[in-house]
Amino acid sequence: MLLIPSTTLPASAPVVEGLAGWRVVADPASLDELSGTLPVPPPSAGRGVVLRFAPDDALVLGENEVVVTDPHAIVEPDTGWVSIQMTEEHALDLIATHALWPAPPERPVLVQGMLAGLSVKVYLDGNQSMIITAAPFGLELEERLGT
Amino acid sequence: MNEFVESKVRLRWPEELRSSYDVVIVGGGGHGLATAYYLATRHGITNVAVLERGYIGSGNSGRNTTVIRANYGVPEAVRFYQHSLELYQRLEDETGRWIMHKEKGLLWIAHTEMGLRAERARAALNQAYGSDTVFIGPEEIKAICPQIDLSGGGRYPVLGASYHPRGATARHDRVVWSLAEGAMRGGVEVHQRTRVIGLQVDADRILGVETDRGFIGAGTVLLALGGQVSTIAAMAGLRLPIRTHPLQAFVTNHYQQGLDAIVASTELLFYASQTARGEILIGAEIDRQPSYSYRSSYGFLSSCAGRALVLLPFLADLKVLRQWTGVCDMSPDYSPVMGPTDVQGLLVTTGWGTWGFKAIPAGGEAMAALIATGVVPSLIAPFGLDRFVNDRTLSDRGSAGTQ
Amino acid sequence: MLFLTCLHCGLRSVEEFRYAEIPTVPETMTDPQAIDLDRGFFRTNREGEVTERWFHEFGCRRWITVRRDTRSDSILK
Ligand SMILES: Cc1cc2nc3c(=O)[nH]c(=O)nc-3n(C[C@H](O)[C@H](O)[C@H](O)COP(=O)(O)OP(=O)(O)OC[C@H]3O[C@@H](n4cnc5c(N)ncnc54)[C@H](O)[C@@H]3O)c2cc1C
Ligand SMILES: [Zn+2]
Repeated sequence: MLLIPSTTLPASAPVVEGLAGWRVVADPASLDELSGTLPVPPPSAGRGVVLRFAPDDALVLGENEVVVTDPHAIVEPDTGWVSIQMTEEHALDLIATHALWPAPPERPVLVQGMLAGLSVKVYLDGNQSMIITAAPFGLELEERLGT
Repeated sequence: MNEFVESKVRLRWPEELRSSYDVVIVGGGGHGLATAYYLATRHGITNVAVLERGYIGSGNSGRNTTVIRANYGVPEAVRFYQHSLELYQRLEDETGRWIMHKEKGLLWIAHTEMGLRAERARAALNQAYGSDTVFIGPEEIKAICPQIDLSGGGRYPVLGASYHPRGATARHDRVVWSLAEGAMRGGVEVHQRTRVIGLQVDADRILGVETDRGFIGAGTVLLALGGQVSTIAAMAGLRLPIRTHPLQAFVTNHYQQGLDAIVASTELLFYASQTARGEILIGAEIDRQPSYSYRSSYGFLSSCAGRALVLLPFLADLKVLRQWTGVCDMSPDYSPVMGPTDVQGLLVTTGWGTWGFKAIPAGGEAMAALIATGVVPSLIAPFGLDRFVNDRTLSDRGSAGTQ
Repeated sequence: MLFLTCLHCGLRSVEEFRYAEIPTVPETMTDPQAIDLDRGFFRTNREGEVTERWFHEFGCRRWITVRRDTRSDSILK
């Protein structure tokens, strides 16, 4: 299973697409390590990225398999997420109008919070960006953002 | 009667604070004053003092959105609020004061299958227990309130509503003043700027209250303190099933047309009505954090206004005039808490949360009867503190709304 | 509106969090049934400084501990 998010550049109307990855729940140190070993993003180049949801919880995209040092780690395929891909400019614009938090300056970065009333995660790598939400909210997100 | 020609409300403020009274009521909001009013007028009990830390009505009774309705979701509540609604209908005659009571009808709109079922159930239950509520479809809704966008902006289609024709509003501070005036006329003393800072208890019996103007003895003490009740009750070692949450509301400038009905939507989490001055008064849900802070927020305003616009697009042409906050005594089952406590002679009327304005006459009448006779009136018996111990909670979150 | 700092995600509006009281049953209460009842329904509802837990539902889905003054909603160290 090759888990690579779409790299198609959006036309004027971005759409929600399924996002398949590995969900890794492991001790924070081993997840730090994992982030270090994977090639530097962007995933738009078709390579792996570790989206750190919490210190001990990550979604890994673009990898055939994931190996972590924590012997008790849980590594499972996770297809519960969807994303809308767009230019960074567009994503920053949406954050400015639909969120009460600022986009952080670092790149690449994963920022999480409420956007247009929904729980989202926004990945910004300086080039491509994606807004991720749990699969059941995908269409709702698309409608609310009016993308 | 007209606001400008009627005689001035006569509030006879006492100067002296006596060292004891038969009954001390702590809190000069609607519930405290109504209890005093009915003690004097129904039971001839007048050796009574109401103690208010600020001015009367400075708590939630002067901050609410004044919706009066009886369309609740459990039988005990329907009976209680229906009685209160009827007392409100007679309150102008009884007090001789114009409280600007106006029947408007209340639409409780449903946008989903689940909402439809809830409103159908509400109508059926209300009818069974003596309150007038009917289920109606979109066309009837449009006829009652032409301003509603039945498509709900495409996202919240109006599928139906429960309609409560007796839904009403009344001017909140006039209610407070009328009851205070009536109580004072009967001989009750209402002391403003008198803050209770302690309760004196001896062997589980209340002896009186400490105030910033000295100790006052009392045989019976009623706590009618709104959001501040836990702080004072704790002074007698009492723990209450209450958490205090801020509730905000706002009002727009004058709307040229009439918005005749009161419009509410659980799924959009807002309700709106038009004041006598033509302003549109809008409220929504409580602030998430337990708090005693009266600070209003832009976050609330923008999210609430956004939701109200979905159903009432005309609001886009209006401007926000004022926004304010009250702090509400929320009970875990969204029902009030009235009656005796473990401390003899110490009574509470609380758990009025975001819904207690409509209950002022019935709550006051029942508490007065309890104080006068020592017997808990059957109308409020289900709402005692003992319901938590006896596993008889009255969960009615869906009906509490915040109005 | 109240803003809380999530250790992982940063400063976020209270709408993103779910509240949880840390039950503070009085020490004088010893009867297990009374304690259960108190935990279920009764509240300290302190007007002043409190320690409480918040769950960052819209972000990392982890708990944070917050010290807050309920009179002003100011966050304490
Ligand atoms: C924004 C908002 C909208 C609402 N909308 C509605 C609605 O549409 N319909 C409805 O039915 N209900 C509504 N409510 C709820 C309703 O306002 C209250 O439930 C009701 O007013 C409670 O009356 P009360 O007398 O118990 O409390 P309050 O009116 O709060 O009175 C308590 C009094 O105690 C005083 N006090 C506090 N501490 C002390 C002390 N230590 N010593 C002496 N006095 C003290 C306070 O100053 C206050 O005046 C709303 C509330 C708010 C905040
Ligand atoms: Zn977080």
